[in-house]
Amino acid sequence: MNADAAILGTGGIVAIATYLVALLGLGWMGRRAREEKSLADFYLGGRSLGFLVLLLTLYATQYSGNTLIGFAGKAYREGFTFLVAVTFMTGVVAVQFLYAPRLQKLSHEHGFITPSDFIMHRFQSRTFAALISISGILALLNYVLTNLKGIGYAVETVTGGKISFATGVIFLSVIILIYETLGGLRSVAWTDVLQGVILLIGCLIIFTVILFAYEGTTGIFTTLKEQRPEFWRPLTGKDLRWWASTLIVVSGGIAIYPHAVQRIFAAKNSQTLKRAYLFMLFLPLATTLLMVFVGWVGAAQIPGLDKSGSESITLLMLGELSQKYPALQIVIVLFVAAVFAAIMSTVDSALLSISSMITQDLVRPRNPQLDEARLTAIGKYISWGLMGLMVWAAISMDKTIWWFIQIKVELLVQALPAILLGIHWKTLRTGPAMWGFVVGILLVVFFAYGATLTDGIPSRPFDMHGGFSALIVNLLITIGGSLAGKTASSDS
Amino acid sequence: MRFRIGALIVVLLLLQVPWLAAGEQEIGGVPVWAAYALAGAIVFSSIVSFCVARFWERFADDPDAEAGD
Repeated sequence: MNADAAILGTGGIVAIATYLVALLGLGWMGRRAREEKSLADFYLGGRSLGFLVLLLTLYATQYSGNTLIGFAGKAYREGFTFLVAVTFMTGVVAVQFLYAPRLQKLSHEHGFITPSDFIMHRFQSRTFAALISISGILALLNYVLTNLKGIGYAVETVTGGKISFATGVIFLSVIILIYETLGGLRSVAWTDVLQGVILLIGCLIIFTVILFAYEGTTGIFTTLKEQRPEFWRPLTGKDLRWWASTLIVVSGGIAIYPHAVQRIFAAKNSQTLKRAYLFMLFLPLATTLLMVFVGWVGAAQIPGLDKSGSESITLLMLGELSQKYPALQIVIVLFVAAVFAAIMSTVDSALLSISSMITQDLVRPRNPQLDEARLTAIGKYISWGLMGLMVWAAISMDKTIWWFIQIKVELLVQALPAILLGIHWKTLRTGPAMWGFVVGILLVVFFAYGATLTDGIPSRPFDMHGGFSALIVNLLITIGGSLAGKTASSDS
Repeated sequence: MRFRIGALIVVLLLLQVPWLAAGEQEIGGVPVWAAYALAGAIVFSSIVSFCVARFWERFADDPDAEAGD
């Protein structure tokens, strides 16, 4: 890659550098606002997040770099069927509404720090709590790794190779670690405010520019139909089953991201959380839908790209337009800033959540003599150690372990029955809930990798997500086992 | 009440899938199933926002405190 191919000029790099310095400033402000050296203060911002900060931290966390890069690319390749992304992002908030009001109340009453604290409180099983925690840690670790690789490629691309992949990953990881160590969730949430605003404004401006610079809605669809007539084909039963199972698995999986659950704990009060969700319900229409539309415009205007090329479709279109209208260079800077914001806000939240689960769920039970200040310090060391490991993996591994991230939400959604039913169903029993979860996890792995071992195992049973079939079995064990146990105890 | 609202949300979630509008017809230049899915997402968000506004406190209560569930 040569320096002449840099997407950002000196002015653009200065703008991004200013943004990064602002993140460090917000991290320092987070430290100044610290009230005590405790896990609740460090990992949950003292349970004091107000409406605006809560809304924007929920938003910045839920929408990652994948929203800006992956969603447009997938819409480019798949056409209108990728509207499933809009439906599952609205589904996420709906699922959260089913459990968040009660969980927020319980978390304030009982001092929960992590999702496993609720599992421990509800089911009184250290084993079950540890299993939930470990599955969350594994899913989030890979999330951090793939996002770090994403940021490395972004830095290399926008600087035309002036800054290497490895330097970009190391530099931005250190920035994340500094502001996160300074103030924990308080710093992360405040940086999320800046990142969320950039992400939202970025999506709106990019959509508007691309829509109006090309042919407008009607013209776009006419050209698109000429280029990609297959987007207009009727849906088959197979398509519909895949759509429905994707909707359930992804809505349920994202709804219980550990870092999303911890933001429920961090809300100042129930009304603040309620107001934040009322806004969150409509943000898929202002973010996901716009990037999906950008992907369709790309398919009409720049046809013939492969998978890798289609992932850069937004940048390609902005580059093309800025040659015609030089003033649009500023939109490219905004897009790059939005990509950095989306990725960094995801990495910092996931890393903080992993650190909290290791400290609270795995270290604390084995070392009950440690006080809160010492545990907080251990949590910070864990963050640095984990980030070091992930940076090493991102730089040294040729490919991300995509095989794992592909089943991330399918693994996470297996905890949904225990959380959702555990909150609302008093007679739900520990054994069935735990075994339902374990069998669900094993089935996800079985469907995902069994097909690679033998032709007899379908990776998509009944043309649906393997994770969906696993969830159904999980629910049957959880509900059936609890009902059977109830009947047995009534008889006795 | 909570069970009924929960079941309603799951049913509405699945109704966003264009089960009955998967054919070849077009509306506004796009397949009718795409228009259905988009309209479904808007309607779904609106109904869930009503439920959040109206029933949040009920969902926050202890399950034992609610008779009839």
